[in-house]
Amino acid sequence: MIIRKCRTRGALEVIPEKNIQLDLFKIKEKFETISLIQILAIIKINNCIVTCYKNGKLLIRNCQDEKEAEKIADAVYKTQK
Amino acid sequence: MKGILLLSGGYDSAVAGFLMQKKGLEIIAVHFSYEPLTDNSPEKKAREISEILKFKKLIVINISKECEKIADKCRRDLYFVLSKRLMLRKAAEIAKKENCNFLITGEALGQVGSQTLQNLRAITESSVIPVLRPLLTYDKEKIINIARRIGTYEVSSGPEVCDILGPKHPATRSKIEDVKKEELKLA
Repeated sequence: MIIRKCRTRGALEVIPEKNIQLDLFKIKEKFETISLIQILAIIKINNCIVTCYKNGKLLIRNCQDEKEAEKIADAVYKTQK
Repeated sequence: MKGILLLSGGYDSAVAGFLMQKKGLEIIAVHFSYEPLTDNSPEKKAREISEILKFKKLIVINISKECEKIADKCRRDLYFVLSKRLMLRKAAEIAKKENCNFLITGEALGQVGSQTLQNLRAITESSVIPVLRPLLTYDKEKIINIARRIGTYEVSSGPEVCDILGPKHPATRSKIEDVKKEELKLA
């Protein structure tokens, strides 16, 4: 996966290397969910707010550490297995 | 005369408000919050800017639920036009209560992909009150130079999260009839 600052540098962005489609309902079942609509789910993991897009892209707020972002991404992607 | 300024917390709307205030308009700022979809940093920025520029008052309105609905039910490429129309309608309601004659926005042509003449026309159509756009032909450099001069640059330049609900490829030539058709889905 690719982890980098988002366009406006306010969050970390995670891009999966393979094409994936996230089942947002599976994510909702596993994590505290702030919002779930057709195109995205916004969840809370520890103190981070994670926006999960259907195409697998994640936007992680309140997280400046790439290692932590990687752990969060792994946890989100694991729900799909 | 009084005007309602749509104040996001970024560079443009602050400068737009300053320019109109300089021309003698009394400014009431309205900030549209997306919490909990975003954190409260945009609102904090708007509050600070409002204090720096000594606007008469700041009103905060949460539109997260409505914007979620737009993103969920309507054509993705029209999201920005539809959400802007929603903001103008809400701002016009406040203008009525506050006896304001104008709405003011920081939109500038070509500033972002969705700020085209066709889209601005579709956005403006939703407002029952005249919309003033003092930055319409300004480029970013000019706007930022003014922001530095008036003391809002530092506040506006803080970190900002990308628009999470917005599409990657927004419509640039939206038609009013298409936009209205999408709005019917929200009723």
